[in-house]
Amino acid sequence: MIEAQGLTKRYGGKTAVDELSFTVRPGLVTGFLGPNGSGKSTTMRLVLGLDTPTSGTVTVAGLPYHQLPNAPRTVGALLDAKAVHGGRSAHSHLLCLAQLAGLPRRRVDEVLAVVGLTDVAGHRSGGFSLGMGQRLGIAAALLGDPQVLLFDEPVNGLDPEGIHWVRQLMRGLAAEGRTVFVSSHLMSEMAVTADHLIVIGRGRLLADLSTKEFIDRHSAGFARVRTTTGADAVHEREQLTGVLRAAGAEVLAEPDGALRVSGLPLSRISDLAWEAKLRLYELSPHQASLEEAYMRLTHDSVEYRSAEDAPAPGELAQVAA
Amino acid sequence: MSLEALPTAPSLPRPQPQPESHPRARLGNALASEWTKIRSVQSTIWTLAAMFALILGIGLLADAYDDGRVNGDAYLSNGLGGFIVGQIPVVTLGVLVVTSEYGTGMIRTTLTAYPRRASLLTAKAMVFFGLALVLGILATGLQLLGGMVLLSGQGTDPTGGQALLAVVGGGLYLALIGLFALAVGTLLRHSAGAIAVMLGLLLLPFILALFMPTGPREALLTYSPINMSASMYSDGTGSMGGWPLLAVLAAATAVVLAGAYAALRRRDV
Repeated sequence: MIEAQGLTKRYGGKTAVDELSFTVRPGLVTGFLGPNGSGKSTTMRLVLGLDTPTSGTVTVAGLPYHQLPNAPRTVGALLDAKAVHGGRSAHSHLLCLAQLAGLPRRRVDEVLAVVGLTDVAGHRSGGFSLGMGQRLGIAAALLGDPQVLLFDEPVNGLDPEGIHWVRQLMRGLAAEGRTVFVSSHLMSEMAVTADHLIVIGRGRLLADLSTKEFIDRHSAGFARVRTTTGADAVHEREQLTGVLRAAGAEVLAEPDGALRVSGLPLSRISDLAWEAKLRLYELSPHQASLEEAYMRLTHDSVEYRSAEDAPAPGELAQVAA
Repeated sequence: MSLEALPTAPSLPRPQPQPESHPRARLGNALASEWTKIRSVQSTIWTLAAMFALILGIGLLADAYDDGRVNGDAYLSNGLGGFIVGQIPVVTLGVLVVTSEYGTGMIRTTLTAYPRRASLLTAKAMVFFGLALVLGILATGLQLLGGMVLLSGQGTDPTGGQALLAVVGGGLYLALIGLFALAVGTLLRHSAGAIAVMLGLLLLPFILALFMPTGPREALLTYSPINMSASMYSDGTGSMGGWPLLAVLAAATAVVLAGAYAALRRRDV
Protein backbone atom coordinates (compact mmCIF):
# COMPACT_ATOMS: atom_id res chain seq x y z
CA MET A 1 0.00 0.00 0.00
CA ILE A 2 1.30 3.43 -0.97
CA GLU A 3 -0.60 6.50 0.21
CA ALA A 4 0.12 10.05 -0.90
CA GLN A 5 -1.64 13.02 0.69
CA GLY A 6 -1.32 16.48 -0.85
CA LEU A 7 2.15 15.63 -2.07
CA THR A 8 3.90 18.72 -3.45
CA LYS A 9 7.45 19.25 -4.65
CA ARG A 10 8.85 22.54 -5.90
CA TYR A 11 12.31 23.06 -7.32
CA GLY A 12 12.93 26.78 -7.09
CA GLY A 13 9.91 28.36 -8.76
CA LYS A 14 8.97 25.26 -10.72
CA THR A 15 6.32 22.95 -9.30
CA ALA A 16 7.12 19.38 -10.29
CA VAL A 17 4.42 17.69 -8.21
CA ASP A 18 1.31 19.62 -7.25
CA GLU A 19 -1.04 18.55 -4.41
CA LEU A 20 -1.02 14.92 -5.49
CA SER A 21 -3.17 12.50 -3.48
CA PHE A 22 -3.60 8.87 -4.40
CA THR A 23 -3.62 5.36 -2.98
CA VAL A 24 -1.91 2.37 -4.58
CA ARG A 25 -3.60 -0.79 -3.38
CA PRO A 26 -2.22 -4.31 -2.98
CA GLY A 27 -3.17 -7.13 -5.35
CA LEU A 28 -3.26 -4.88 -8.40
CA VAL A 29 -0.87 -3.54 -10.97
CA THR A 30 -1.33 0.22 -10.79
CA GLY A 31 -0.14 2.12 -13.83
CA PHE A 32 1.27 5.59 -13.27
CA LEU A 33 0.81 7.48 -16.53
CA GLY A 34 1.83 10.89 -17.71
CA PRO A 35 3.72 12.62 -20.50
CA ASN A 36 7.47 13.15 -20.18
CA GLY A 37 8.21 15.74 -17.52
CA SER A 38 4.83 15.36 -15.83
CA GLY A 39 6.35 14.48 -12.46
CA LYS A 40 6.24 10.68 -12.48
CA SER A 41 9.89 10.16 -11.57
CA THR A 42 9.79 12.95 -8.99
CA THR A 43 6.77 11.29 -7.37
CA MET A 44 8.63 7.96 -7.34
CA ARG A 45 11.63 9.64 -5.66
CA LEU A 46 9.33 11.24 -3.07
CA VAL A 47 7.78 7.83 -2.31
CA LEU A 48 11.25 6.37 -1.83
CA GLY A 49 12.44 9.18 0.43
CA LEU A 50 15.17 10.23 -2.00
CA ASP A 51 13.64 13.70 -2.29
CA THR A 52 11.88 15.50 0.55
CA PRO A 53 8.42 16.85 -0.30
CA THR A 54 7.89 20.61 -0.06
CA SER A 55 4.58 19.77 1.60
CA GLY A 56 2.30 16.78 1.99
CA THR A 57 3.11 13.24 3.02
CA VAL A 58 3.60 9.86 1.46
CA THR A 59 3.74 6.54 3.28
CA VAL A 60 4.64 3.01 2.26
CA ALA A 61 3.06 0.19 4.25
CA GLY A 62 1.86 2.85 6.66
CA LEU A 63 5.24 4.42 7.38
CA PRO A 64 7.28 7.28 5.90
CA TYR A 65 10.03 5.63 3.86
CA HIS A 66 12.94 6.48 6.14
CA GLN A 67 11.11 4.95 9.11
CA LEU A 68 10.87 1.50 7.53
CA PRO A 69 12.93 -0.78 9.76
CA ASN A 70 14.37 -2.71 6.82
CA ALA A 71 13.42 -1.02 3.56
CA PRO A 72 14.35 -3.74 1.01
CA ARG A 73 12.19 -6.30 2.84
CA THR A 74 9.16 -4.06 2.43
CA VAL A 75 9.82 -2.13 -0.78
CA GLY A 76 11.66 -3.02 -3.96
CA ALA A 77 12.31 -0.35 -6.54
CA LEU A 78 13.63 -0.15 -10.07
CA LEU A 79 14.48 3.48 -10.76
CA ASP A 80 16.62 3.84 -13.82
CA ALA A 81 18.45 0.74 -14.93
CA LYS A 82 21.75 2.59 -14.99
CA ALA A 83 21.68 3.43 -11.28
CA VAL A 84 24.49 0.91 -10.95
CA HIS A 85 28.28 1.20 -10.67
CA GLY A 86 29.31 -0.16 -14.07
CA GLY A 87 32.66 -1.42 -12.80
CA ARG A 88 31.07 -3.84 -10.38
CA SER A 89 29.92 -7.32 -11.35
CA ALA A 90 26.22 -8.13 -11.29
CA HIS A 91 26.83 -10.51 -8.39
CA SER A 92 28.79 -7.98 -6.30
CA HIS A 93 26.19 -5.30 -7.01
CA LEU A 94 23.39 -7.50 -5.72
CA LEU A 95 25.52 -8.79 -2.84
CA CYS A 96 26.19 -5.30 -1.47
CA LEU A 97 22.45 -4.56 -1.65
CA ALA A 98 21.56 -7.89 -0.01
CA GLN A 99 23.98 -7.16 2.82
CA LEU A 100 22.26 -3.82 3.48
CA ALA A 101 19.11 -5.77 4.32
CA GLY A 102 20.91 -8.59 6.11
CA LEU A 103 19.85 -11.06 3.43
CA PRO A 104 21.79 -14.29 2.93
CA ARG A 105 24.24 -14.61 0.04
CA ARG A 106 22.20 -17.37 -1.61
CA ARG A 107 19.35 -14.90 -2.14
CA VAL A 108 21.60 -13.15 -4.70
CA ASP A 109 21.88 -16.35 -6.74
CA GLU A 110 18.14 -16.87 -6.47
CA VAL A 111 17.21 -13.47 -7.92
CA LEU A 112 19.92 -13.77 -10.59
CA ALA A 113 18.22 -16.99 -11.69
CA VAL A 114 14.77 -15.37 -11.63
CA VAL A 115 15.85 -12.63 -14.05
CA GLY A 116 18.02 -14.97 -16.12
CA LEU A 117 21.39 -13.34 -15.47
CA THR A 118 23.09 -16.32 -13.80
CA ASP A 119 25.48 -16.84 -16.71
CA VAL A 120 26.76 -13.27 -16.61
CA ALA A 121 26.76 -12.87 -12.80
CA GLY A 122 30.53 -12.35 -12.74
CA HIS A 123 30.59 -9.82 -15.59
CA ARG A 124 30.88 -6.10 -15.03
CA SER A 125 27.45 -4.54 -15.37
CA GLY A 126 28.90 -1.64 -17.39
CA GLY A 127 29.03 -3.97 -20.39
CA PHE A 128 25.39 -4.96 -20.10
CA SER A 129 22.82 -4.11 -22.75
CA LEU A 130 19.88 -1.91 -21.74
CA GLY A 131 17.71 -5.00 -21.41
CA MET A 132 20.22 -6.79 -19.19
CA GLY A 133 20.52 -3.62 -17.11
CA GLN A 134 16.75 -3.59 -16.62
CA ARG A 135 16.87 -7.23 -15.56
CA LEU A 136 19.62 -6.46 -13.06
CA GLY A 137 17.56 -3.57 -11.67
CA ILE A 138 14.54 -5.86 -11.34
CA ALA A 139 16.69 -8.47 -9.59
CA ALA A 140 17.71 -5.80 -7.07
CA ALA A 141 14.06 -4.87 -6.52
CA LEU A 142 13.13 -8.50 -5.85
CA LEU A 143 15.99 -9.19 -3.38
CA GLY A 144 14.07 -8.62 -0.16
CA ASP A 145 10.90 -10.40 -1.36
CA PRO A 146 9.05 -7.10 -0.79
CA GLN A 147 5.29 -6.57 -0.60
CA VAL A 148 5.51 -3.24 -2.42
CA LEU A 149 7.23 -2.83 -5.78
CA LEU A 150 7.89 0.34 -7.76
CA PHE A 151 9.05 0.23 -11.35
CA ASP A 152 9.96 3.43 -13.18
CA GLU A 153 9.54 2.87 -16.95
CA PRO A 154 10.55 -0.82 -16.71
CA VAL A 155 10.05 -1.68 -20.38
CA ASN A 156 12.18 1.18 -21.71
CA GLY A 157 14.65 -0.25 -24.17
CA LEU A 158 13.43 -3.82 -23.89
CA ASP A 159 12.80 -6.05 -26.89
CA PRO A 160 9.31 -7.59 -27.34
CA GLU A 161 10.35 -10.73 -25.51
CA GLY A 162 11.64 -8.64 -22.59
CA ILE A 163 8.48 -6.52 -22.53
CA HIS A 164 6.37 -9.67 -22.37
CA TRP A 165 8.53 -11.00 -19.56
CA VAL A 166 8.24 -7.80 -17.47
CA ARG A 167 4.49 -7.71 -18.05
CA GLN A 168 4.08 -11.32 -16.85
CA LEU A 169 6.34 -10.65 -13.87
CA MET A 170 4.37 -7.61 -12.74
CA ARG A 171 1.05 -9.39 -13.11
CA GLY A 172 2.41 -12.39 -11.24
CA LEU A 173 3.63 -10.18 -8.38
CA ALA A 174 0.23 -8.49 -8.14
CA ALA A 175 -1.57 -11.83 -8.25
CA GLU A 176 0.46 -12.84 -5.18
CA GLY A 177 -1.17 -9.94 -3.36
CA ARG A 178 1.69 -7.47 -3.67
CA THR A 179 1.37 -3.77 -4.41
CA VAL A 180 2.81 -3.04 -7.87
CA PHE A 181 3.23 0.59 -8.94
CA VAL A 182 4.60 1.04 -12.43
CA SER A 183 5.19 4.27 -14.30
CA SER A 184 5.00 4.62 -18.06
CA HIS A 185 4.33 7.19 -20.72
CA LEU A 186 2.84 4.55 -23.01
CA MET A 187 -0.93 4.13 -22.69
CA SER A 188 -0.91 1.07 -24.94
CA GLU A 189 1.51 -0.68 -22.61
CA MET A 190 -0.48 0.16 -19.49
CA ALA A 191 -3.76 -0.94 -21.09
CA VAL A 192 -2.52 -4.51 -21.20
CA THR A 193 -0.53 -4.47 -17.97
CA ALA A 194 -2.33 -2.37 -15.40
CA ASP A 195 -5.56 -3.06 -13.51
CA HIS A 196 -5.75 0.51 -12.28
CA LEU A 197 -4.52 3.80 -13.68
CA ILE A 198 -3.32 6.99 -12.07
CA VAL A 199 -2.81 9.66 -14.73
CA ILE A 200 -0.95 12.89 -14.02
CA GLY A 201 -0.01 15.93 -16.08
CA ARG A 202 2.15 18.84 -14.95
CA GLY A 203 2.34 17.25 -11.54
CA ARG A 204 -1.43 17.25 -11.03
CA LEU A 205 -3.78 14.30 -10.78
CA LEU A 206 -5.84 13.98 -14.00
CA ALA A 207 -7.50 10.62 -13.47
CA ASP A 208 -7.58 7.82 -10.91
CA LEU A 209 -9.71 4.92 -12.13
CA SER A 210 -9.65 1.28 -13.16
CA THR A 211 -8.28 0.43 -16.57
CA LYS A 212 -11.65 -1.04 -17.56
CA GLU A 213 -13.40 2.17 -16.61
CA PHE A 214 -10.87 4.17 -18.60
CA ILE A 215 -11.42 2.02 -21.66
CA ASP A 216 -15.21 2.12 -21.34
CA ARG A 217 -15.23 5.84 -20.84
CA HIS A 218 -12.71 6.89 -23.41
CA SER A 219 -12.80 4.46 -26.27
CA ALA A 220 -16.42 4.86 -27.36
CA GLY A 221 -16.93 3.53 -30.86
CA PHE A 222 -17.79 5.62 -33.90
CA ALA A 223 -18.69 4.99 -37.51
CA ARG A 224 -17.00 6.31 -40.60
CA VAL A 225 -19.58 7.19 -43.20
CA ARG A 226 -18.89 8.27 -46.74
CA THR A 227 -21.44 9.40 -49.27
CA THR A 228 -20.98 9.31 -53.04
CA THR A 229 -18.09 11.15 -54.61
CA GLY A 230 -19.98 12.68 -57.55
CA ALA A 231 -20.82 16.32 -58.30
CA ASP A 232 -23.41 16.32 -55.51
CA ALA A 233 -20.94 15.06 -52.92
CA VAL A 234 -20.88 18.21 -50.79
CA HIS A 235 -24.62 18.59 -50.90
CA GLU A 236 -25.26 14.94 -50.03
CA ARG A 237 -22.81 15.09 -47.17
CA GLU A 238 -24.56 18.11 -45.69
CA GLN A 239 -27.91 16.45 -46.13
CA LEU A 240 -26.78 13.29 -44.36
CA THR A 241 -25.19 15.32 -41.57
CA GLY A 242 -28.53 17.05 -41.02
CA VAL A 243 -30.48 13.80 -40.95
CA LEU A 244 -28.07 12.12 -38.55
CA ARG A 245 -27.91 15.11 -36.20
CA ALA A 246 -31.72 15.23 -36.19
CA ALA A 247 -31.64 11.59 -35.02
CA GLY A 248 -29.35 12.53 -32.15
CA ALA A 249 -25.92 11.60 -33.53
CA GLU A 250 -22.72 13.54 -33.09
CA VAL A 251 -21.21 14.16 -36.52
CA LEU A 252 -17.75 15.43 -37.31
CA ALA A 253 -16.36 16.02 -40.78
CA GLU A 254 -13.04 14.34 -41.44
CA PRO A 255 -10.44 15.92 -43.73
CA ASP A 256 -10.85 13.29 -46.46
CA GLY A 257 -14.57 14.02 -46.84
CA ALA A 258 -15.84 11.18 -44.67
CA LEU A 259 -18.08 11.74 -41.64
CA ARG A 260 -17.25 10.55 -38.16
CA VAL A 261 -20.54 9.59 -36.53
CA SER A 262 -20.98 8.59 -32.94
CA GLY A 263 -24.08 7.93 -30.86
CA LEU A 264 -25.98 5.77 -33.38
CA PRO A 265 -25.65 2.10 -34.25
CA LEU A 266 -24.49 1.27 -37.76
CA SER A 267 -27.86 -0.21 -38.75
CA ARG A 268 -29.67 2.98 -37.76
CA ILE A 269 -27.26 5.12 -39.81
CA SER A 270 -27.91 2.88 -42.81
CA ASP A 271 -31.70 3.11 -42.35
CA LEU A 272 -31.58 6.90 -42.06
CA ALA A 273 -29.51 7.17 -45.26
CA TRP A 274 -31.92 4.86 -47.07
CA GLU A 275 -34.93 6.91 -45.97
CA ALA A 276 -33.19 10.09 -47.21
CA LYS A 277 -32.37 8.30 -50.47
CA LEU A 278 -28.66 8.75 -49.99
CA ARG A 279 -26.23 6.15 -51.31
CA LEU A 280 -23.36 5.25 -48.97
CA TYR A 281 -19.93 4.27 -50.26
CA GLU A 282 -18.61 3.51 -46.82
CA LEU A 283 -20.11 2.60 -43.46
CA SER A 284 -17.47 1.13 -41.17
CA PRO A 285 -17.24 0.61 -37.40
CA HIS A 286 -14.24 2.10 -35.54
CA GLN A 287 -12.88 2.11 -32.02
CA ALA A 288 -11.14 5.27 -30.77
CA SER A 289 -7.69 4.17 -29.64
CA LEU A 290 -6.78 4.45 -25.99
CA GLU A 291 -3.70 6.33 -27.08
CA GLU A 292 -5.96 9.01 -28.57
CA ALA A 293 -8.09 9.16 -25.45
CA TYR A 294 -4.99 9.43 -23.31
CA MET A 295 -3.58 12.19 -25.49
CA ARG A 296 -6.84 14.12 -25.27
CA LEU A 297 -6.72 13.75 -21.49
CA THR A 298 -3.15 14.95 -21.14
CA HIS A 299 -3.12 17.35 -24.08
CA ASP A 300 -3.22 20.50 -21.99
CA SER A 301 -0.47 19.34 -19.70
CA VAL A 302 2.18 18.31 -22.18
CA GLU A 303 5.38 20.01 -21.13
CA TYR A 304 7.37 19.91 -24.33
CA ARG A 305 5.10 20.08 -27.35
CA SER A 306 6.46 20.15 -30.86
CA ALA A 307 5.44 23.26 -32.74
CA GLU A 308 4.36 23.49 -36.35
CA ASP A 309 7.40 24.54 -38.32
CA ALA A 310 5.64 25.61 -41.53
CA PRO A 311 4.54 29.25 -41.57
CA ALA A 312 0.83 29.87 -42.01
CA PRO A 313 -0.30 30.45 -45.62
CA GLY A 314 -1.08 34.10 -44.85
CA GLU A 315 2.47 34.70 -43.74
CA LEU A 316 3.79 33.13 -46.92
CA ALA A 317 1.60 35.44 -48.98
CA GLN A 318 2.93 38.41 -47.09
CA VAL A 319 6.49 37.34 -47.74
CA ALA A 320 5.70 36.90 -51.43
CA ALA A 321 4.14 40.37 -51.58
CA MET B 1 -7.27 -3.02 -27.12
CA SER B 2 -9.42 -5.95 -26.17
CA LEU B 3 -10.65 -6.58 -22.69
CA GLU B 4 -9.53 -10.22 -22.91
CA ALA B 5 -5.95 -9.02 -22.77
CA LEU B 6 -6.44 -7.58 -19.30
CA PRO B 7 -5.25 -9.65 -16.39
CA THR B 8 -7.91 -11.05 -14.15
CA ALA B 9 -7.78 -9.36 -10.79
CA PRO B 10 -6.85 -11.73 -7.98
CA SER B 11 -9.78 -12.65 -5.79
CA LEU B 12 -8.36 -11.96 -2.35
CA PRO B 13 -5.20 -9.98 -1.66
CA ARG B 14 -3.02 -11.58 0.96
CA PRO B 15 -2.70 -9.68 4.21
CA GLN B 16 0.50 -7.68 4.27
CA PRO B 17 2.98 -8.70 6.94
CA GLN B 18 3.79 -5.94 9.39
CA PRO B 19 7.10 -4.22 8.65
CA GLU B 20 8.04 -4.72 12.31
CA SER B 21 8.43 -8.44 11.65
CA HIS B 22 11.65 -7.80 9.70
CA PRO B 23 15.00 -7.56 11.44
CA ARG B 24 15.95 -3.89 11.62
CA ALA B 25 18.81 -2.88 9.30
CA ARG B 26 21.81 -1.81 11.37
CA LEU B 27 25.20 -0.20 10.92
CA GLY B 28 26.72 -3.70 10.74
CA ASN B 29 24.71 -4.38 7.56
CA ALA B 30 25.96 -1.16 6.01
CA LEU B 31 29.57 -1.97 7.01
CA ALA B 32 29.37 -5.40 5.33
CA SER B 33 27.84 -3.79 2.24
CA GLU B 34 30.46 -1.03 2.01
CA TRP B 35 33.24 -3.59 2.42
CA THR B 36 31.78 -5.54 -0.52
CA LYS B 37 31.55 -2.32 -2.52
CA ILE B 38 35.08 -1.10 -1.91
CA ARG B 39 36.72 -4.40 -2.78
CA SER B 40 34.62 -5.07 -5.86
CA VAL B 41 35.78 -2.14 -8.00
CA GLN B 42 38.99 -1.69 -9.92
CA SER B 43 39.61 1.85 -8.66
CA THR B 44 40.33 0.54 -5.15
CA ILE B 45 42.94 -1.89 -6.46
CA TRP B 46 44.61 0.71 -8.68
CA THR B 47 44.72 3.54 -6.16
CA LEU B 48 46.05 1.36 -3.35
CA ALA B 49 48.58 -0.28 -5.67
CA ALA B 50 49.71 3.20 -6.71
CA MET B 51 50.07 4.23 -3.06
CA PHE B 52 52.29 1.20 -2.38
CA ALA B 53 54.31 1.71 -5.53
CA LEU B 54 54.97 5.39 -4.73
CA ILE B 55 55.70 5.08 -0.99
CA LEU B 56 57.75 1.91 -1.22
CA GLY B 57 59.25 2.49 -4.65
CA ILE B 58 60.45 6.07 -4.21
CA GLY B 59 61.50 5.44 -0.59
CA LEU B 60 63.55 2.37 -1.42
CA LEU B 61 65.09 4.08 -4.47
CA ALA B 62 66.27 6.89 -2.20
CA ASP B 63 67.67 4.32 0.21
CA ALA B 64 69.45 2.52 -2.61
CA TYR B 65 70.91 5.80 -3.84
CA ASP B 66 72.16 6.57 -0.30
CA ASP B 67 73.84 3.17 -0.01
CA GLY B 68 77.47 3.92 0.89
CA ARG B 69 77.06 7.70 1.34
CA VAL B 70 74.99 8.04 4.51
CA ASN B 71 77.80 9.60 6.61
CA GLY B 72 76.18 8.90 9.95
CA ASP B 73 72.97 10.91 9.23
CA ALA B 74 69.54 9.54 9.99
CA TYR B 75 68.09 8.01 6.82
CA LEU B 76 64.54 8.09 8.10
CA SER B 77 63.67 11.13 5.94
CA ASN B 78 64.35 9.09 2.76
CA GLY B 79 60.72 8.02 2.99
CA LEU B 80 59.33 11.56 2.77
CA GLY B 81 59.33 12.05 -1.02
CA GLY B 82 57.35 8.88 -1.68
CA PHE B 83 55.04 9.66 1.23
CA ILE B 84 54.12 13.10 -0.16
CA VAL B 85 53.17 11.81 -3.61
CA GLY B 86 51.79 8.54 -2.21
CA GLN B 87 48.94 10.39 -0.51
CA ILE B 88 47.51 11.52 -3.87
CA PRO B 89 46.07 8.08 -4.75
CA VAL B 90 44.76 7.72 -1.17
CA VAL B 91 42.94 11.04 -1.52
CA THR B 92 41.60 9.93 -4.92
CA LEU B 93 40.19 6.73 -3.42
CA GLY B 94 38.62 8.67 -0.54
CA VAL B 95 36.83 10.94 -2.99
CA LEU B 96 35.74 8.06 -5.24
CA VAL B 97 34.20 6.05 -2.37
CA VAL B 98 31.39 8.61 -2.40
CA THR B 99 31.48 10.38 -5.78
CA SER B 100 31.50 7.19 -7.86
CA GLU B 101 28.04 6.51 -6.41
CA TYR B 102 26.81 9.93 -7.53
CA GLY B 103 28.51 9.68 -10.92
CA THR B 104 26.89 6.34 -11.72
CA GLY B 105 23.52 6.92 -10.04
CA MET B 106 24.25 4.02 -7.65
CA ILE B 107 23.56 6.39 -4.73
CA ARG B 108 19.82 6.26 -5.48
CA THR B 109 19.87 2.47 -5.38
CA THR B 110 21.91 2.52 -2.17
CA LEU B 111 19.72 5.04 -0.35
CA THR B 112 16.56 3.27 -1.47
CA ALA B 113 17.89 0.07 0.08
CA TYR B 114 19.21 1.87 3.17
CA PRO B 115 17.48 5.19 3.81
CA ARG B 116 19.40 5.95 7.02
CA ARG B 117 21.81 8.37 5.43
CA ALA B 118 23.98 9.29 8.42
CA SER B 119 24.50 5.63 9.21
CA LEU B 120 25.46 4.98 5.59
CA LEU B 121 28.09 7.74 5.62
CA THR B 122 29.44 6.36 8.91
CA ALA B 123 29.79 2.93 7.30
CA LYS B 124 31.59 4.38 4.27
CA ALA B 125 33.91 6.43 6.50
CA MET B 126 34.72 3.50 8.80
CA VAL B 127 35.41 1.03 5.99
CA PHE B 128 37.60 3.48 4.10
CA PHE B 129 39.43 4.72 7.20
CA GLY B 130 40.14 1.18 8.38
CA LEU B 131 41.41 0.05 4.99
CA ALA B 132 43.56 3.15 4.46
CA LEU B 133 44.99 2.95 8.00
CA VAL B 134 45.98 -0.73 7.77
CA LEU B 135 47.47 -0.46 4.29
CA GLY B 136 49.04 2.92 5.06
CA ILE B 137 50.83 1.52 8.11
CA LEU B 138 51.87 -1.48 6.05
CA ALA B 139 53.35 0.75 3.32
CA THR B 140 55.20 3.14 5.65
CA GLY B 141 56.35 0.23 7.83
CA LEU B 142 57.71 -1.78 4.92
CA GLN B 143 59.44 1.31 3.56
CA LEU B 144 61.22 1.96 6.88
CA LEU B 145 62.07 -1.70 7.32
CA GLY B 146 63.52 -1.82 3.80
CA GLY B 147 65.69 1.20 4.57
CA MET B 148 66.94 -0.33 7.81
CA VAL B 149 67.91 -3.52 5.97
CA LEU B 150 69.50 -1.77 2.97
CA LEU B 151 71.46 0.76 5.03
CA SER B 152 72.09 -1.31 8.17
CA GLY B 153 75.09 -0.06 10.09
CA GLN B 154 75.60 2.91 7.78
CA GLY B 155 73.62 5.62 9.54
CA THR B 156 71.82 6.43 12.71
CA ASP B 157 68.83 4.13 13.27
CA PRO B 158 65.64 6.06 14.13
CA THR B 159 64.62 6.00 17.77
CA GLY B 160 61.52 4.08 18.79
CA GLY B 161 59.53 7.30 18.99
CA GLN B 162 60.66 8.45 15.53
CA ALA B 163 59.85 5.08 14.01
CA LEU B 164 56.41 5.03 15.66
CA LEU B 165 55.61 8.50 14.30
CA ALA B 166 56.85 7.65 10.80
CA VAL B 167 54.98 4.32 10.62
CA VAL B 168 51.82 4.60 12.74
CA GLY B 169 51.64 8.40 12.49
CA GLY B 170 52.24 8.16 8.74
CA GLY B 171 49.47 5.58 8.39
CA LEU B 172 47.13 7.75 10.47
CA TYR B 173 47.96 10.77 8.35
CA LEU B 174 47.11 8.88 5.14
CA ALA B 175 43.82 7.59 6.56
CA LEU B 176 42.87 11.04 7.87
CA ILE B 177 43.68 12.96 4.69
CA GLY B 178 41.74 10.28 2.76
CA LEU B 179 38.78 10.67 5.12
CA PHE B 180 38.98 14.45 4.63
CA ALA B 181 38.76 13.76 0.87
CA LEU B 182 35.77 11.44 1.41
CA ALA B 183 33.98 14.26 3.22
CA VAL B 184 34.86 16.74 0.45
CA GLY B 185 33.53 14.20 -2.09
CA THR B 186 30.26 13.97 -0.14
CA LEU B 187 29.92 17.74 -0.16
CA LEU B 188 30.74 18.19 -3.86
CA ARG B 189 29.26 14.90 -5.25
CA HIS B 190 31.52 15.18 -8.27
CA SER B 191 34.72 13.15 -8.78
CA ALA B 192 36.81 15.54 -10.84
CA GLY B 193 35.77 18.58 -8.82
CA ALA B 194 36.48 16.95 -5.47
CA ILE B 195 39.86 15.57 -6.60
CA ALA B 196 40.84 19.01 -7.93
CA VAL B 197 39.88 20.64 -4.62
CA MET B 198 41.91 18.07 -2.70
CA LEU B 199 44.99 18.55 -4.90
CA GLY B 200 44.65 22.28 -4.34
CA LEU B 201 44.45 21.80 -0.57
CA LEU B 202 47.48 19.50 -0.62
CA LEU B 203 49.74 21.70 -2.72
CA LEU B 204 48.55 25.31 -2.66
CA PRO B 205 49.26 26.33 0.98
CA PHE B 206 52.92 25.39 0.57
CA ILE B 207 53.25 27.24 -2.76
CA LEU B 208 51.28 30.30 -1.63
CA ALA B 209 53.43 30.57 1.50
CA LEU B 210 56.44 31.38 -0.67
CA PHE B 211 54.80 34.64 -1.74
CA MET B 212 53.56 35.70 1.70
CA PRO B 213 55.01 38.04 4.30
CA THR B 214 56.57 36.34 7.29
CA GLY B 215 53.52 36.03 9.59
CA PRO B 216 51.04 34.27 7.26
CA ARG B 217 53.92 32.37 5.70
CA GLU B 218 54.75 30.65 9.00
CA ALA B 219 51.12 29.66 9.58
CA LEU B 220 50.58 28.45 6.02
CA LEU B 221 53.80 26.46 6.08
CA THR B 222 53.11 24.92 9.49
CA TYR B 223 49.61 23.72 8.66
CA SER B 224 50.23 22.83 5.03
CA PRO B 225 49.70 19.13 4.34
CA ILE B 226 53.23 18.94 2.94
CA ASN B 227 54.67 20.16 6.24
CA MET B 228 52.37 17.80 8.12
CA SER B 229 53.76 14.99 5.99
CA ALA B 230 57.33 16.15 6.64
CA SER B 231 56.63 16.25 10.37
CA MET B 232 56.03 12.50 10.32
CA TYR B 233 59.65 12.02 9.25
CA SER B 234 61.48 14.95 10.84
CA ASP B 235 60.87 18.09 12.87
CA GLY B 236 59.38 20.03 9.97
CA THR B 237 58.70 23.77 10.00
CA GLY B 238 57.30 25.50 13.05
CA SER B 239 57.29 24.48 16.66
CA MET B 240 54.58 21.83 16.48
CA GLY B 241 55.62 18.22 16.36
CA GLY B 242 54.16 15.39 14.32
CA TRP B 243 51.54 14.16 16.79
CA PRO B 244 50.03 17.61 17.54
CA LEU B 245 49.82 18.28 13.79
CA LEU B 246 47.98 14.97 13.37
CA ALA B 247 45.51 16.19 16.00
CA VAL B 248 45.02 19.38 13.95
CA LEU B 249 44.36 17.31 10.83
CA ALA B 250 41.91 15.11 12.77
CA ALA B 251 40.05 18.21 13.99
CA ALA B 252 39.88 19.69 10.47
CA THR B 253 38.64 16.35 9.13
CA ALA B 254 35.96 16.21 11.84
CA VAL B 255 34.70 19.67 10.83
CA VAL B 256 34.45 18.84 7.10
CA LEU B 257 32.89 15.46 7.92
CA ALA B 258 30.26 17.17 10.08
CA GLY B 259 29.42 19.35 7.08
CA ALA B 260 29.17 16.23 4.92
CA TYR B 261 26.70 14.62 7.36
CA ALA B 262 24.57 17.76 7.38
CA ALA B 263 24.58 18.06 3.58
CA LEU B 264 23.77 14.38 2.99
CA ARG B 265 20.93 14.49 5.50
CA ARG B 266 19.38 17.63 4.02
CA ARG B 267 19.80 17.30 0.29
CA ASP B 268 17.67 15.55 -2.32
CA VAL B 269 19.43 12.74 -4.11
